[in-house]
Amino acid sequence: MGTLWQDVRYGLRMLGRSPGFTAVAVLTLALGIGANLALFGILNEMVLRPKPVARPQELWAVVPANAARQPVYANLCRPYYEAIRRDGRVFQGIIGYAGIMPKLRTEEGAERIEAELVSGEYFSFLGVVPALGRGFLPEEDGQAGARAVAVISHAFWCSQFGGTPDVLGKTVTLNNTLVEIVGVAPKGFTGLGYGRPSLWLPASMEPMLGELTVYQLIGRLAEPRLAPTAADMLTPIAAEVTQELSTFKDPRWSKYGVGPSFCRVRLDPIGRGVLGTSRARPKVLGFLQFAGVATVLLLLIACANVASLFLARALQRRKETATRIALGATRAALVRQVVCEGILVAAGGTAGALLVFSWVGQGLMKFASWWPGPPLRPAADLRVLLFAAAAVLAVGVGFSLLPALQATALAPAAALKDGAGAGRRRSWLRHGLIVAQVAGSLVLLCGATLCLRSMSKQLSVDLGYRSDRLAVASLDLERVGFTTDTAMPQLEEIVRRVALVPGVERVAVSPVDLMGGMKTHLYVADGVEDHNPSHENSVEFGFYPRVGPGMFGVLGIPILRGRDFSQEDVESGRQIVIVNESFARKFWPGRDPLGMHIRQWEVVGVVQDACLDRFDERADATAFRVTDKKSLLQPNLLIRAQGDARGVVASVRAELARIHPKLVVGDVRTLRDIIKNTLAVEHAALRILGALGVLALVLASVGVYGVMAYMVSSRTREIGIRLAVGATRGDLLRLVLSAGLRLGLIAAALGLPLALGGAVVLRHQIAGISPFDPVSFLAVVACVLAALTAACWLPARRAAKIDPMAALRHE
Amino acid sequence: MIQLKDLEKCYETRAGKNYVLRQINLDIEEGEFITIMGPSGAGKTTLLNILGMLDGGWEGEYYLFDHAVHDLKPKERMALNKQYIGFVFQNFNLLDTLTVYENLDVPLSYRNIKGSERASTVCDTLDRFGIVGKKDLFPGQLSGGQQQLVGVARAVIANPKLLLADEPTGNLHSTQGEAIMDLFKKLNREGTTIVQVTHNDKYAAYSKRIIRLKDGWMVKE
Ligand SMILES: Nc1ncnc2c1ncn2[C@@H]1O[C@H](COP(=O)(O)OP(=O)(O)O)[C@@H](O)[C@H]1O
Ligand SMILES: [Mg+2]
Repeated sequence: MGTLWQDVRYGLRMLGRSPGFTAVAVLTLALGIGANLALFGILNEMVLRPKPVARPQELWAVVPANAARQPVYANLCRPYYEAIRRDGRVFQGIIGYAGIMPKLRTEEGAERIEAELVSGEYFSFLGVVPALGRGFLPEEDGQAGARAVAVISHAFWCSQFGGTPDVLGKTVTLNNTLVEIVGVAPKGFTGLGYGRPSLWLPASMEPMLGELTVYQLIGRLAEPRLAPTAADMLTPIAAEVTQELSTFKDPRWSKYGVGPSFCRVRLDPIGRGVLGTSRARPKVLGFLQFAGVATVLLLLIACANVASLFLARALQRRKETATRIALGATRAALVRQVVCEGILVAAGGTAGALLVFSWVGQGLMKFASWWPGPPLRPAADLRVLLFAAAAVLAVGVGFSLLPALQATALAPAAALKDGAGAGRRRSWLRHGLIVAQVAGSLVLLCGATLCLRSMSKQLSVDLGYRSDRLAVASLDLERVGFTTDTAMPQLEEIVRRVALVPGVERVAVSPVDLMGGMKTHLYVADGVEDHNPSHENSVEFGFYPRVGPGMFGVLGIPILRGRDFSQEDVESGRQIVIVNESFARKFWPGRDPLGMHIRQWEVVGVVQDACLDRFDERADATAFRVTDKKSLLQPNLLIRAQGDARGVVASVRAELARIHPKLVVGDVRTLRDIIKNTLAVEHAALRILGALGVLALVLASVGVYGVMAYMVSSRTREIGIRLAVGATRGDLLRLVLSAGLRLGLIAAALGLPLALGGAVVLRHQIAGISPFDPVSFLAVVACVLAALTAACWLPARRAAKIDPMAALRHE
Repeated sequence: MIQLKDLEKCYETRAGKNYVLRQINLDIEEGEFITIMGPSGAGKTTLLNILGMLDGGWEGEYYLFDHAVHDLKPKERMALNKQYIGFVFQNFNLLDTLTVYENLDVPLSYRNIKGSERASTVCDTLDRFGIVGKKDLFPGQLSGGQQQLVGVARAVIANPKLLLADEPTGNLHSTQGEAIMDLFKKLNREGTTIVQVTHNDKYAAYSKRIIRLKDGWMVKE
């Protein structure tokens, strides 16, 4: 213990004596450790931190899955909840909740807020005690005796009611229903998902609110290891419910259906992290995976960088080391001393990283522009501190051990006499460290290039219409005080005025969200005239979006037969649809679709296939229904520009703001930007890998510069001799450049297989190109070699300028 | 072969101009063997470096064959060095990280010679200097005399017309020194012009002409 303390004190003194060196080392490590710590912080929030509920480790989500146990989309509506609850063998209790976005009446109009419909025992099940008032009563969950009551969140209480205790008994108006506030949730409780609901309502209010719901079912398992068998016990129960629903034609069934691939359930732990079983989970995990690879590489590069600093310094201290050996120090003691300094530097870097940890985490999350939840702010807790401590040890020992071993491997007599000798043997570590840095940056840059190429490849697919000339603004007329009856004239006015904006060619309104994942609500394709499904139990899906008149014209999707919808169709509420080619081909092969019926709707037109929902999928069978007036309260304004859509965005935004400042929800965006946004993981990965890759390359180039400069200065005499025996300046330039490039080529030889391996691991995130895309790899290698040549250029010039006389005199 | 006319060299120091060579006038015929002598600091090394084109900042005229060296650019001077001149140093100046074989190959590598020809030249030279057995050793593994042998071999491997040797025996025992001087004599007989610097009168006697320098001036015998 005493010697350890002595090591620490001596280490601090040595570090204090060279503040510049210490500062550079600490900052470099702070950079590497900071990125990893921040990422771990995000991971901690997403999947590790226990939720503020009773015994979170017992909570399991019931997730619909296919035969391969992969999660699939299916709505486990109330009958499933009731069946599982009735069974009672598996769970000690079960709750269901569904996120909804009801309209809250405000002074100006109405605003959509986040809320959750929950089963009655929600609060008691979770062990959450309201800060004020009560949770829900059993009778409030009954199907029949539905009462309009709500528990509001702490944040909502503070923002809407100023946090006053007399809030109980007050009412809010949701979707025209008066709801009484009976409780306030405790501070910090935001439900089980990543959203931040403003209030919780009993599930029995679902019909009253008329919202679309997708329930999550959460049960409490006393024994976590029972999860796999419990899932097997639940599967037949769910199958039975599915069977019943489809036999009795429950209205909810025709509305949502469940996918044909839904054949079993699985149980996923849900007690930790905000991510839960959210549909964003694969995206988030994919993102964290990418970012993790990148930040670990960055840390390795930072370590290699600091290790070369340590090595250079340790070699400078060879005389001191030799003296110590002569005085009887063991090699172990000397190594321990250097490693101790390494740990001190790592601790400094980690302390710096902890200071900016939350801020860097938020910065990293900015890359994940598609994150659907509210801004995530990683906070330090015990897990983060443990991670930091582990980082200090691993990094501190990791980067200082090799330099320590090498610097202490010397014959004291030789070292005492002079510093030189054995040059060839000592340079391998120095060069190895540089090679590692260059290889690391090569891997990062390869990743970035792959993402870039993958993105541009995907963006250039044919959508069936020109995406570059389109812009979209989502409007909310209800929020600014319009109703179904008054909205139509206002919409016509908006369309007229936006069409007059210079550069705008055509404008239409339509409820459909382009590239917006509309297929969350696929419908069972039943009632299709003259269509006999191939076998009895097959369930076929159609995609039934509502669209406004003129939408196809604005998008430039040709109408192949029949006609488009007109404003008059909307006004009169006529029951008509337009189908796309795929629909016609799938259900009525070889027949004329015009005049056919889907349920009560008559087909009046056929349009060419186009990708409206996702840019990377073939168009599905789609029947476009004419919009009703209600859907036009929150329409999308589709704008086609005469040229590039980016040119009109600003003026359209200004014109809409003149009509009403709160008319637009979000922002006016080009369709290209929206598509880019759906490529979020690639985009985020591209930016992270790109930014870190460039950073790493800069670090590595500085390292190469250092090594080459050192090489030139330590080989001045040799260069003089070479000049004396006939070398030209060009020969010397070549000598240094080729030494640098040799390092680069070795790095490429090591880095390329690594990059290829990484690409294979992450191949699911890369679409459109092969993970072995040669263009990406060659471009990066060329770029890295160019950077190295630049880094070697100055030392090479210096070598070429050496005066042979001075060099030879210098001994 | 060489003609120096009023050659002067000075260094700018804080105290003003410090002349190292003054009004040097010297003719050297092809095939001569010349010794330069003089006390330390007299300018011997400086003169040798100027003859060998390693030093550029001087005044006066210097003709090597029919090249007016004083009118040439540094690059062209280095080309002359490559073509005509070989150097032997007092402290050998072998490259520590290269073997004897590789050290001999270095001058050839700068002279546009084919690989096979280079290899045979190096082998011939190793043979001629009797150091074949040492070819895979590093300089640090040789005695001083053996190192200088390699130094001389390296200096003549590209067939220079002029061999410049700056105190080649300064770091050697007398027996080793005599061996080197015998070698010089043999090379001179074979046609190489040699200019050497030495402090040793015995070794100076190997040459046919002695030039004495003092404080940068040539002094008469
Ligand atoms: N780079 C330099 N700057 C200033 N003076 C120099 C320089 N190089 C050599 N000298 C001076 O030139 C003089 C001649 O040096 P040198 O030719 O090496 O003498 P020597 O005859 O011993 O070989 C010496 O006085 C030395 O101090
Ligand atoms: Mg001298």
